[in-house]
Amino acid sequence: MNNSKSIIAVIARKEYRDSIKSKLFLTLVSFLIILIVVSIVVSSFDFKSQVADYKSSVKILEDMGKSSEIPSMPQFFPLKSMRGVIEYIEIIGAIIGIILGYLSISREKGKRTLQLVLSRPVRIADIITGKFIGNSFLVLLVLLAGLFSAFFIIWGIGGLLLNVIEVVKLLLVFIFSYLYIMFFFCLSSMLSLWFKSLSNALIICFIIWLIFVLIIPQIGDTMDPDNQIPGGFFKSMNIDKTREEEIMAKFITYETTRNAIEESSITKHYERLNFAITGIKEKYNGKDLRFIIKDSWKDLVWVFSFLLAAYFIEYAILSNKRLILNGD
Amino acid sequence: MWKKIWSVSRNEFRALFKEKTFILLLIIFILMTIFSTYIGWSTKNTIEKVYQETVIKLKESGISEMPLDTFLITSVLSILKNMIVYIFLIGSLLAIIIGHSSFMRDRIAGISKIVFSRTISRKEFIIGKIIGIFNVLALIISVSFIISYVSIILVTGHPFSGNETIKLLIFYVISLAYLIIFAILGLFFAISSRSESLALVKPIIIWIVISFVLPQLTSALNPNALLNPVSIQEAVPHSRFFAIIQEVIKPFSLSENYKELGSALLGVKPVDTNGIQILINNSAGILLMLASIGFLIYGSIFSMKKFDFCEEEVDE
Repeated sequence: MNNSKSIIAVIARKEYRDSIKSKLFLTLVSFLIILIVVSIVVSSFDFKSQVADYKSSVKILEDMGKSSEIPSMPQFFPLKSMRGVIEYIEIIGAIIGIILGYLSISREKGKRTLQLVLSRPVRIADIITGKFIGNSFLVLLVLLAGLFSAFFIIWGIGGLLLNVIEVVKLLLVFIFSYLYIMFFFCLSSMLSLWFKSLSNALIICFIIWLIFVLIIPQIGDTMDPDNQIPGGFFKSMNIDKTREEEIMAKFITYETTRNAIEESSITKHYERLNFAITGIKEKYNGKDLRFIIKDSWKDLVWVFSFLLAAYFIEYAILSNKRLILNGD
Repeated sequence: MWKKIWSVSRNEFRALFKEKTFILLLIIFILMTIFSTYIGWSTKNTIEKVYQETVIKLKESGISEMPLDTFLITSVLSILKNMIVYIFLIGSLLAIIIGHSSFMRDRIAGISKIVFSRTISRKEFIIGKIIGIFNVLALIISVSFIISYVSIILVTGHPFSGNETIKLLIFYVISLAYLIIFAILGLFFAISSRSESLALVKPIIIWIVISFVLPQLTSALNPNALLNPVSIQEAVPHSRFFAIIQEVIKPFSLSENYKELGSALLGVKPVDTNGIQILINNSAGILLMLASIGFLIYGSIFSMKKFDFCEEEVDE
């Protein structure tokens, strides 16, 4: 057991060292961090601008002597400004996972080291776990950098210091993002192991990424009747939430199909989970964490199941030693 | 000169055609087009029924003045509105892959080392490649156009008017130009990058900047809002900060110019203008696309001249 632990640690350390030196990985990480910063800075400036517009409208109304008509001031919910960050992790975080998985296997295939390792008394589970742990450190490091950037930009530009509950919520986003990225890591290393041509493996992986991250959420979103008019169909018809639900109850088959399409994507589950935690979805804004988890635990189970499935398929592929030994 | 270019382009066309990835991409495009019509038609039908139900509810609550049914006055082509998103997000990414594999295939196989033992210049070779890629993309787009045309007639049961046919045709020609930009981008990095994976990831980063980052800077729309052609219509600056940024960046934002042009041609917004007028109104966007193609062709020829044919092998 101790021997197994030390093997895993050696593989994990090697994975970490190799990937952190990769130009490709460093390019993508820098890009993601820049996007996270841009995204929060943009939403912070947007909010500041809205407040400035509000103040000038208030002044005009006061000058006109219409103080009773002054609307309420726009409120800033710091975690809501994380929307862009979550969506960029959905897109680029997944690409980082894919590239890490690809690099992890392409290095071994290029130097034929996997055949060498498999000829030693090393368990397949140790190789997979070692690679998983080594790359987990990298992903956690990247997310930690993003998390700190988000925290300090919200503080510095938004002028708001997050309270303990908000920090806990931010940490949960961090954990879910880790699970999500590691799914794409496992998917990519699994395909890189399976395909003889690494280039084809990478292209197939990007096609799966397209389907999960862009196509399925796009279909679900554009099929939503409320999304057919800018600003929302029901809002344009002056229909409140209760009556909207009554109307949509008559289109239950359509809505069930739309929801089923969305549910087949890990990205949609990741998004729903994080939008609930951060309160981007209005229903959960300012709500207790227990209430949110009670309502969204299914999405967490889905994200976890996707990751586990990819992990075990990768294990099954690597178990087929003949495939690896005959591979290029 | 043209004989050699034609020979390279024919060879490129055949090579891309034989690749499994090309078949896969063609299938994705065909599915995208069929899905686009089906989803557009199904959603339009459903929203019509939802509108009728909403009218009944409003009448029950004593309201007599009903908001206008905007879905009735939109063009029949608006059923295809998802195609705008599919082409600017998915099509462009697939075009990068085509451009990338076009030159990377030769580098890996070592063809780039021996091809110049023949009497062909680097410029002729790369122009031939670009024409070959153009032919492949033109074929894919033509298939997509035919599927759109036939499928809309099938689901609506009405033939197109001349004006609508011209608009649909122009939309696909513009889409072809948009895809070529990304295909040459993929080709450019396949020539200029030392590593195979970096050659694929660099144009993808540029694709992300063009497709998501620039629109976010000019309109504060989050990345996923760009997946919905209706949300794109909302992309108007709602604060001074974005109004200023939009003024500076938008003229150079390829994806936004393409989306605006596509929305106008497919009648996502109910406007009654002919296709030629739409082209005139969006001439700046078209010029930007043409300038990008010209710039990238020049860049590819330039990097081809610098390319080291004695490289031992391509890094992973």
